[in-house]
Parts: sequence; C-alpha cells; structure tokens
Amino acid sequence: MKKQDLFTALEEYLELSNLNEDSSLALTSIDILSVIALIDENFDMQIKASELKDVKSVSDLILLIGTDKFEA
Amino acid sequence: MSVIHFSGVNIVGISTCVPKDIVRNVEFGASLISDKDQLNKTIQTIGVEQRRVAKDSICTSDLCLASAEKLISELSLEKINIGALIFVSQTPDYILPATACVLQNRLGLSKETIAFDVNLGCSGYVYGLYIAHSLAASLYGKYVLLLAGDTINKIVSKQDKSNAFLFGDAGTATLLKQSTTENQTSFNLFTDGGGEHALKINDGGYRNQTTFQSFEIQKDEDGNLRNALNLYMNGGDIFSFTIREVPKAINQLLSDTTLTIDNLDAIVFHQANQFMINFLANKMKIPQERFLTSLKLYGNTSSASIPLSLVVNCDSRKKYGKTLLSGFGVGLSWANCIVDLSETTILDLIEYE
Repeated sequence: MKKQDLFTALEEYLELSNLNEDSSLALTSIDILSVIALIDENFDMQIKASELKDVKSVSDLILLIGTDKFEA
Repeated sequence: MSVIHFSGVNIVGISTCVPKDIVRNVEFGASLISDKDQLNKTIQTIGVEQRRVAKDSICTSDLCLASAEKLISELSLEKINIGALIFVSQTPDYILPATACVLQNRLGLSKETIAFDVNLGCSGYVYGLYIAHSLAASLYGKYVLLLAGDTINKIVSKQDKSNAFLFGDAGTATLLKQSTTENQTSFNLFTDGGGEHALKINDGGYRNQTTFQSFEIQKDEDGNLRNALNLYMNGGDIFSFTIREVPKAINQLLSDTTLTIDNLDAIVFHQANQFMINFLANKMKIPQERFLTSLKLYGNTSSASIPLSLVVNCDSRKKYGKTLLSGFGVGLSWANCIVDLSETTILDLIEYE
C-alpha cells in the first residue's frame, strides 16, 4: 500500500476528506474500531486499541504501522 | 489448546425466552446523543435497533426457568431423568447460593441432580456446552440441562454510550443426552486473563468490596458516566483481541476436523456488535445466508446470544445440520465448537410477561 492509498482508505473508513500526512486525527471509540480493521485488512497487522491512544495525526498512524510497510 | 472430540452426545432441544418489554434505540438514544446523524451512525455501527430489557423484578433465572419448563413440557420429559443442571451467567440471583441450586428446586428436579454455576459471559454458552457434553458422556440415560443467559442491562449505566445501546436480556435452556448415534462434536477452548480489565465490573466482589465510593459516578474521557458497580468495556481492546485470536482458533478447529466453511450448514458467532461480527464474517469468507444473527432486534445478549440466534433464525422446513458456534469476550475467554443439530428440536421464542 502507498501512503496515498492509506489517506484514501482513512477518508472512507472515518468519513473524512482531503487527508494528507499532516492531517490531525481525533479518533472516537468507533473510529478506533475502524482503524484497527483497516490496518488488519491492509497490513495483516493486529494492533491493540491502546496503541492508538497516542495517535493524534495521520503521520502518527504511519509511524505506528511502520514506514517500511509502505510502497515508495 | 488441542481440539477435544465427543461422540454419541446429542443436543436434544433448545429453547429461549426474552422479556416482553422492548427498548428502541432511536428513542432511547435521543437524550444521550443529541446529534441525530451521530445517533444513527452509532446505531448502524453496533447494529442494534431494539432490545428486550427485563424489569427490575425479572432475573436471568426467571427467563431460563421459563425456557426450561417449556422445553421439558414440549419434549414430554420426566424431570427425574435430568441428572445435571448447569447455570451459565454473570447476573446470578445472589452472590450465594449458586443460582443452579435455586433453579433445581424451582424446577422440581431430583435431589440427586448435580447443579452448579459457571461465571462466564460471551464465551459461556460454548463453555457450557463443553461441560454439558462431559457430564452427559458420564451420566448414562440422564439428561443434562444447560441454562445460559444474562440480564446485563441491570449492570449497565444508562449514561454510558459505549454500552447503553448494546445489550439485551435473555435466558435459554438446552438439553443434552448420551445417544446411540455416532454424531461428533468438537471443541477448542481458550483463556487469556491478561485481558481481565477490558470488560469488567471493578467493585462489588471481594477484591474491591462495595463502599460509598463504589456508587460515585465518574466521567471517562469519552464523556460516558458510570460508577464502579457498572459494566466497563474497552470496545477497542475487545475488538483487537477478537480479530487476533478468534479466526486463528476457528481455523484450528476446522483444520483438526478436516472441515471447511463450505461444509457447515450454519455459523453462529456471539453477537458482540454488528461491526465486529461483520468484520469476522468477511475475514473468514462466511456466506451471508449461513451466517445467523440476532443483534438487530435483540442486541448483544451475552451468553444467550448463540442459542437465541439459532432460535430466531430457525426455519421449521429445514433443520440445522453441522453448525459452528463461536463465543468470545469477557475474561478474556473464547471457545468454538462444531455440533450436529440435525436431530435437535428448536422451539419458538418465548416472551416473558
């Protein structure tokens, strides 16, 4: 997955628009379920909800997933 | 955990009972979430449009008793032939004695009945079935009565948005008996107490006894209000545990029994919430037509959700055959089984007045 694909997927899952790496995220409890599902489906990674507690932006999420997981 | 197999134990019948009172989430939620779009999104995500809620005077045991009485009557069973009674619930009548003892007496069962409680929730029905199979295999000629249910609304804060829309109340009865048929039932069961905090009532037991502070209402970071005697659930942690462990465990069970999803006539997950069970169904490529649910009209009914889903989706023209049951949640605890329900009598849903 490319970073741009993640932005598009996040927009779809979280019903947001015009996301980029600098966009801030304020995840509700329902959003957290969506992000866990998105990461499982696209990266085959099972992350814990507590790991999303400190995610305040798209760039935080990319760091959590791991920058090496994204295609150039 | 390796897979455990039983042969020659039959699930004879299943009966379920729900309270008559209906709570519709659109009306219930209006005071809790003022933004109509947000309210609709919440209801859509959890998938619960309405729920059955027990009056204060109705206990889980009452719903289970009604289910059991109907099952015994419809199957024309002699009560003397019931050798064991297992009550699976997290909402018993008392801290002590065990509700199973109270129910042995209320049902008029023999004093030779083995009776005990099992304190499990979402995985409780499958755990109960496993224990009931073990007992039935050793009690030749006797029936085992498994009563599973909960009235979780008694312990949920009505001002806790993460829980208040979700739970319904229900009680169920399942009868098992050793049989001469060769039908096989296979189980795998798991526990991870490291996740005890994900779903918990902190006070009121003997680790944290009830004090005046137990009743103090606290506001969490999402604005939910609850006290230490109310149910707390971290939905995100439960979701990540479920998607991490449950598909793996089901695949192990299927592999050990040399079955695939295509060989199953029906699949029933604990009715946690719509988002979670849809995610699991998609991940495991389960066809919608064999995937049974009861969330929309009854909510998450804890240990009753699996038998309730079997009952409300029952088609009198076609019996369930090989069926996968999967329970997961509080504990953390999870368990799966593949049972043959082709000889099982499934009764219509009872409404408790």
